[in-house]
Amino acid sequence: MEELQEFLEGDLYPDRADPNFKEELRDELWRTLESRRLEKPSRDD
Amino acid sequence: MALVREKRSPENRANHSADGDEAAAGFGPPSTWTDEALLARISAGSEEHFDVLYERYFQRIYGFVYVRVRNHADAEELTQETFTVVFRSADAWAGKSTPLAWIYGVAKNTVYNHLRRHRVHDQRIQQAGPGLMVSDSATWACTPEDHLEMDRYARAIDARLQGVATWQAEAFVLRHVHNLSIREISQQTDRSGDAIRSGLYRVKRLLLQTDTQETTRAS
Repeated sequence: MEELQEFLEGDLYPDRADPNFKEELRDELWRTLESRRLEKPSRDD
Repeated sequence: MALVREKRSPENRANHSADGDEAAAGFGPPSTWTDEALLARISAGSEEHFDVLYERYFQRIYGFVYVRVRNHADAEELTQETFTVVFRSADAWAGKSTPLAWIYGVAKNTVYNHLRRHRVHDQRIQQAGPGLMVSDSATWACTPEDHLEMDRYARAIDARLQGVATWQAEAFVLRHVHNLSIREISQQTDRSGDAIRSGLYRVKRLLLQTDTQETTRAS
């Protein structure tokens, strides 16, 4: 439970990620999500 | 953070389904939506809701990981792995636990697997002794001057690779010096093929950026 609490309070940590990394990761994740979603067969087929 | 505390209150938990339904129906800004509602909208292709969930969890994951590995290169890699697993398996999550508990579990397992791999790797290095660094590759069968040149080159590469995670640097060497396939590197490093490709891309970009800087400086 302490670890979960620690996880929740991650916003309070002083060590921050490189903003460029954060933005690039965001873009990469979204691109991957979209390509996987578009590859899924349509439920209507 | 206030939104997180609101979601954890007993009243909020009791009304969780109702709030989730309302949120899923589009009431209120996405930043107030529950994690469950956000995941549902993300599955439907909403980039806006993806951004909200990403922002909500990014520092939680990064901070949690960084405290345990104490370097930004590894923290970045593990944050990427965690998010990749979360979004790749979101469809299979199916409400077995709260998204918070599930994502926390993914982050914890990712970090602990990483730490365990490093312990095993360090033990292998220690057991192998100094002979590990001698290669029988034909590339190294050359004159002493060639060895000196290659040593200088290897040191220059090594300096540039200080900013990446250890396994990413290792994957780069395995790929471009020892010519292993992605599948072989994946087996050797116990990483997924996607993680290997992503890591190689990151290293290449770092090296190219450094080359560009040096070329600009020289001119």
